[in-house]
Amino acid sequence: MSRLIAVYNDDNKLMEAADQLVEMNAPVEEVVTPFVIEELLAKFHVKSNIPLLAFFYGVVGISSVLAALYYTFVISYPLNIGGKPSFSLTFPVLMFIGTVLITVLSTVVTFFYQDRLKPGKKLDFEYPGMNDDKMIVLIDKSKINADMESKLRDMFAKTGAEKVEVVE
Amino acid sequence: MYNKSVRGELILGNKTYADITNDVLRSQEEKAPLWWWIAFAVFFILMSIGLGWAVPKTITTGIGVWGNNNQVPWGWAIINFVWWIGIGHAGTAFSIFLLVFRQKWRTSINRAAEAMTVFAVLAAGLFPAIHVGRPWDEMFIFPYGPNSRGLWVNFNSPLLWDVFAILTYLTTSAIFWYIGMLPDFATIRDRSTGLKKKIFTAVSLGWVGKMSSWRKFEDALAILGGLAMPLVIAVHSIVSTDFSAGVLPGWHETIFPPFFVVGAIFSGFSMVVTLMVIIRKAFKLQDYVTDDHFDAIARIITFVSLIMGSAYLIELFIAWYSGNTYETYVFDENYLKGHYWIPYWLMLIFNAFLPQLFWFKKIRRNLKAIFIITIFVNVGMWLERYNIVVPPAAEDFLPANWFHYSSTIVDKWVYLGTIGLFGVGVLLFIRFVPMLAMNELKQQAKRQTTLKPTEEEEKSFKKLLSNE
Repeated sequence: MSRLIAVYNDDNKLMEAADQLVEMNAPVEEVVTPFVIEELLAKFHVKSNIPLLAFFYGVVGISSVLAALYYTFVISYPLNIGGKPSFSLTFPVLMFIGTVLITVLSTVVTFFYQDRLKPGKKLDFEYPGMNDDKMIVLIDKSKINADMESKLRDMFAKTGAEKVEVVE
Repeated sequence: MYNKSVRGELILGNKTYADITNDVLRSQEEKAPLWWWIAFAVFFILMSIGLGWAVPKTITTGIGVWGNNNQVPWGWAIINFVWWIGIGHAGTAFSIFLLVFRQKWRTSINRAAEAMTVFAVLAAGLFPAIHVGRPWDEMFIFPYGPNSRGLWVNFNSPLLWDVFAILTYLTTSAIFWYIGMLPDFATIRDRSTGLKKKIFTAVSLGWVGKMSSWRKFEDALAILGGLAMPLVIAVHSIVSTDFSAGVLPGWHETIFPPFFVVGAIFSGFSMVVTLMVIIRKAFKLQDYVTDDHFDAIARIITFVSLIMGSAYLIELFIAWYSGNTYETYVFDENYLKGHYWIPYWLMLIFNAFLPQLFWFKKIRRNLKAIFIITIFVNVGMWLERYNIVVPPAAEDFLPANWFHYSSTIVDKWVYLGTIGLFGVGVLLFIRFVPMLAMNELKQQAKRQTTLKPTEEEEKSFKKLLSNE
């Protein structure tokens, strides 16, 4: 895959470029940064559905733990503990802990799955210093024409990109 | 939320992003210093004797090798369990409470606090595991089905809640710690070669740092943090119900859940400070772990110490106010002037009075003083657990049964073994894992630069002030 990349070492300059990219409606594939830049995520409207899914896992978690407790303590083997009801007021303790465990594990699995993270995964993109101090804009070259490419190269140069090049 | 006039600069020395990477990874990329090898050897020996001799002796011979007796069924093992769990709450308290409250000064310290949590919870988990006496029957704790025994486990018991709460806490803390390290592992992967590169390629899971990944990363961490925060309160409340659900005077107290949670945060913060003083000194990290950081933590410790002091007073007051002979006996006769007056008064001095020295700015900014006071707090918190576990059981309702407790050499070595385990874990952590969260420090450095007024802004501000 052929990409036009612009490498910055200053996030302020990167943000200037981001403003221009949005204005130009450029097909930005990704921006790689060594730390999270909230303004950048807001600029490109980057969203995830992890919070919504986590809520769903929580609902499933609390229902399944309640069902398990109800089955074991009320249906399968009701114990008479001082005449108190089998459907105990202490259930919420384990319901809470079980919900946390189920939600945490499911959320992490979702995060790994959505981002395709796994041991030994081949990197999607590599550039020296990308997790150190370099911020890199990636543009899929197949999605831009020659005119757009030259406009982008100009803009990157003007906004202070350290390097603008095509990588495979 | 960052306010320069309140907190001061959190990263000193106008660091660039590359400086941050180099400074943090220096401890990994250079050869281990001599002190590291000496400390590692000492802790490794403690761990080997403790886990290699005392624990197997307990398992093969039985709980009789400990000092526990019929009157005092819980001794050092439960004291140490509660003590370690308390320290284990530091990671959550630091990392997550401060994250949720948007305290940016957490960035330099959270990684070490999270590491501490994992090793402390591991150490804590060992005690109930061997205290059951027959660890090979431990599968009966889990509700894997009623058919083998004819009934389910008792879901109403705080002891069972403990098992689930601690395992969930360990899992959540370890995952939170690991996920937070993914970007930093990727940084190490990019800089290393050979076997080290292979290892960090595997553990960084192919992290690149794309903005879509950062969004998911931030959301996942926020959710884990949001869930772990009430969990930490639940875990230590559950530990406290191990006692307060009992009928012994001195245990049967409604104050215990909040009292235990606050105590956990108190000891956890103190242990973090003790470790951070050493780490800052040993790795010359004064630009990242500044006096302002210690100042902020010392203020929290002072505040929490006041809560602890109030709790001790409330216990004494309620014992007197209840008019209950047994309750009054525990606090008035046993603790204040009886058989256990020494640990009780030392606990009061170390936990409630000594941290009040932090009201003085000079002491809050003196590393030696902070180091010594926090060590005393940790000793004080151990004594607090001793006072909870031993005296009420030793002298309960029936004086004819009274029997005192003294620990044995095996008790002591199991404890020293867990200190060795914790020390080895922490030393390996500071040697092989980035001990400060680089990606968060860079974010902090950016925030600091963005908020710093330019020369022009400063000039116009001064002009405005002079006109007024």
